[in-house]
Amino acid sequence: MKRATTDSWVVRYLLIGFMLAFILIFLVFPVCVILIEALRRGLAFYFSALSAKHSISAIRMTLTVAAIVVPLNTIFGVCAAWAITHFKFPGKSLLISLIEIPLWVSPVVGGLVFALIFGRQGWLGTWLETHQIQILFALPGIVLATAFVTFPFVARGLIPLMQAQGSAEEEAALTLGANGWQLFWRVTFPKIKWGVLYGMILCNARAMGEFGAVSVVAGSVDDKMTMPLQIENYYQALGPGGLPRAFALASILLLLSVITLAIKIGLEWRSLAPHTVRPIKPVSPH
Amino acid sequence: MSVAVSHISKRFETRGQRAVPALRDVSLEVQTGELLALLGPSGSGKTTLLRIIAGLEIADEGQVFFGQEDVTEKSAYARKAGFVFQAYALFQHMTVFENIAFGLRVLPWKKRPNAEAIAKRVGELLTLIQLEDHEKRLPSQLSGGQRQRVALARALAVEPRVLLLDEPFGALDAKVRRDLRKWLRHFHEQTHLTSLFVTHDQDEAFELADRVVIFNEGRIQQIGLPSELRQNPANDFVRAFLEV
Amino acid sequence: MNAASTLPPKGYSLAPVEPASAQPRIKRRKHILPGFHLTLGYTLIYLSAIVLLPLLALLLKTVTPTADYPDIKQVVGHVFEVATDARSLDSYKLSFGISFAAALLNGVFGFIAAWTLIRYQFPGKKLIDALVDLPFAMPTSVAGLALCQIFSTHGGYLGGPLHDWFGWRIAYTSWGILIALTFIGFPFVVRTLQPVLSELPAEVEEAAACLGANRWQTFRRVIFPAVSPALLTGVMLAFGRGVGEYGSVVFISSMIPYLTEITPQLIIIKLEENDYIGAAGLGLVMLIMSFIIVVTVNTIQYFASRRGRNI
Repeated sequence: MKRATTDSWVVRYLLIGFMLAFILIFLVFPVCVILIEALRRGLAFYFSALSAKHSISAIRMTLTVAAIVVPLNTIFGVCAAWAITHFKFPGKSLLISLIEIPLWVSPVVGGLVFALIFGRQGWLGTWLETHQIQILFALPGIVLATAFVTFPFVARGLIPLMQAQGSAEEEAALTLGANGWQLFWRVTFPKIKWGVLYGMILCNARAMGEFGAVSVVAGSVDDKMTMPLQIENYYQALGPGGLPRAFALASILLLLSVITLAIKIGLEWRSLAPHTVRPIKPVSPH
Repeated sequence: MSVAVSHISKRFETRGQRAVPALRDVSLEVQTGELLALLGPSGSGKTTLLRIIAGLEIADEGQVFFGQEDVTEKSAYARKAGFVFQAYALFQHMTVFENIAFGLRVLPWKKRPNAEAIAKRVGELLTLIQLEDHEKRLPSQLSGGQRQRVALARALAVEPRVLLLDEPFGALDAKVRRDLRKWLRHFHEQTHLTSLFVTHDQDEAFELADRVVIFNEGRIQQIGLPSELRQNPANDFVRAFLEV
Repeated sequence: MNAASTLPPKGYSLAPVEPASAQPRIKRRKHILPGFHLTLGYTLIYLSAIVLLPLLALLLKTVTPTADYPDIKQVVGHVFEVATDARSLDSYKLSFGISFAAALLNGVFGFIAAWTLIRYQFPGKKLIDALVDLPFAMPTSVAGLALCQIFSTHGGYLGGPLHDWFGWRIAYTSWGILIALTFIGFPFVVRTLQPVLSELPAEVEEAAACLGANRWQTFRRVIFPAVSPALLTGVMLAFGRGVGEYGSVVFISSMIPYLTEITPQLIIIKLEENDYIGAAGLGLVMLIMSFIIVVTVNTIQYFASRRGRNI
C-alpha cells in the first residue's frame, strides 16, 4: 500500500508488535500445543492412539458423513446459484437470506431442530420407534445436522461469482444451439469450477469439524461418534490414556484445517475464488 | 429466409415503478437476402427488438416469423438465429478453434459431423476471417477486432438462416471499424444471408445496409432505402437525427 | 415518398397474420435460459427439507400441546417459564454478555490487525494474513482442546504460570470462555475491515494533512468514521458467532449452572431431561437473538450504503 501520509515508526512498530503478539498467542500457539501434546508420548503411542477401535470408527464416521453431505450441498449450491443468476423471479433476496440462515444460527439449535423432529418426544418419535428406524444417534441424524450447518457454503461462494460472470456466454451458447446440459458442462462449469472447489473445501472443513450440532443428535453413543465428538469423549475419559488420544485425533483434524487453509489461500491468491465473509447482496441478472 | 415481426410490444419492469415501454407495436418485414440496419439513439428499442427476434427476450405481445413459420414460442436454442453480441461473448476458457467449433459440437448426435468435418469447416471459417494462425489462441490474447471476427465466424459455423448483429463494431477503433465494415459488406454480397444489425452510427448504417429502419422511443419512425430517408425524412425526429 | 408509418414501403407485404386482439392468450415462455423449474424447484425443496421445515418444527413445538401439557396455554406457559427461569437468565447473561465482550475485544484486536496488514509492510505479512483465517478453518473442538491445555490452571502452558505467579484462574471460569470466543470471532472483524480499509482513497487523508490535521486527528475524524460501519458489522458478526458457539467453550468451561453455563449447554441439558418443549423455548430465544443480529447488520449496511459508504 503506497500512502503519502504514513504513521510514525513508533506507532507502526507498536501496532505490528501488538498484532504479532496477539496472533502468536492466540492462533499459532494453540496449533503448536496440539502437535506437542499429540506427540508427547512418542510416535508409537501416537499411532496406537489413532488405530484404537474408537478412533477408527470416529474417523470412518466423519469421512462417511462428509462424503454424503458435501456432494449434496454442492449440488444444491450449483442449482441455487444457477437459478438466482440467470432468472428473474420475485423473492430472490428473500431466498438468498433464507439460504444464509444456518450461518447465523447456533449449531446447537441446528441439532436441536432435528432432535425435535426425530427424537423420542419429537414429531416423528413414536412412528420411528414402532418402525424401528434409527435417525438420531445414528448416521442419518448426523448427516442431517451436518447438512444444516454447512448448508450455505457452496452457494455463498458461487452466487457472487456467477453474478459477476453474467449470462452472456450462456446466451451465446444458446443461440448456437446448445441445450441445458451442454450449456452447463461446456460453458458454465469451466468458468465456475474453482469457485465450486472453494465452496466444497469450506463445506468439507466444517462438515468434518462440526461439534455442536452433532453433539445434540448423536451425543454419547460410543461407536456412532464423529471425530470431534470422540475427541471430547477421550478428553472426558478417566485415566491417563484419554488426553493424549484426544490430541492425537485432534492433530488429524488440525492437519485437515491446514490443508483446507492452504487450498483456500491458494485459490484466493490466484483470484480464482471469492473472499467473502460479509452477507451477500443480491444483484439482478441483467 | 425472410423475417417478419408483427405488433411486437415489450415493457421492462423497473423495481416498483411504472413499467418502461421498450417497444410499442412494432411491425417489420425483412426480405430474404436483405441486409437491414436498425438505427436510432440508445434506449430506442432497437437492441431489444433484435434480441426478441433471436429469442433472447420474450415480447409481451406480438409474433415473430422466420419465413412462414411462427417462431414466437420457440426458444433461442430452437430458432438457430446466428447472434453476434456487442461484447462478443466469446467463451473465455476455449481457444479460437473451440469457440468456432462449439455450435457444431453441440449438435444432436445424428446431425453432428465427425471431428474431421468439424476441423475442415472451422478451417474454412478461419480463412474467411483471416485468422488461420490464431486457432490455438485464447480470446484474452486477441485484439478487439480479432475477437469480433471470431464471434462472427462462431455464429456462421452452424449455417444459421438469419444473422443478427448487435452493435458489432461498437467497441472498435475507427480504422478497424472501416475495414470490418467493408469485409461485412463483401461477405453479405457473396452469401446473401438475411441479416439485421443494430447500430447508432448512421454512416455505418447507410454504407452497409440495403434498407434502414429508424427507431425512436420504441417505435419505428421510418423505413426505407438510405437515399429515400435522406431525401424524404418522414418527420422532425428523422430530420434532426439524420441532420438533413 | 410515403409518410411516417410502421408499414413497410410499397411492394413488400406483411406475412399474413391475425390482428393482435384476435390471437388466443398463448401462455408465454418466461425464461430464456433452460433449467428454471429444475434448479429453482430443487433449491426450494432442499432448502425446505434441511432448513425451513426443521425450523418450523421448532416453532411449532413451542405451541403444540403434548401429553404433559395438554392445553396450548400450558405449553406456552411452560415455554415462558423455562425461558425466564433464573438458570436460563443466568445463561443468557453469560452467553450474550461474554460474547459481547469478546466481540468488543475482537473489535480492537481485529482493527489493529486489519490496519497493520493493509497499511504496513513487514516480512512474513502474507503468512500472517493467511493465519487470520485459522479460526475459520479449525474445528471448534480442536480449538477448545488446545486453548484448554494452554490456559488450564494446573499444568497449562500459560495458565499454570499465571496461576502460580498471580493467582489467576482462566480455564473453567468465565475468562476461559472469553478467550475461546475471542479466538473464534477474530477473523470476522479482520476480514470485514480489510476491504474497506484498502479502498479508502489516499487523497482524503492527504487533504486532511494539508489542512493541518496531525495523524491522530486524521484518524479520529476522517479515517475512523469512514470504516466504522464495517467495524460495527464485523463486531456484530463476531457477536453472532460467539453467542451460538458451543464446541470450543465446552472444553474450557466447567459448565456450572448459574455460573459458567452457556445457553447452548442448557438446551442440551433440557433435551437430556426430555423437556423438549423447554429446549424448544430456549432455542426460540436464541433464534430471536440471531434474527435481531441479522437485522442489525443489514440496517448498518443499508444506512452505510445510503450515505455512499462502501461495505
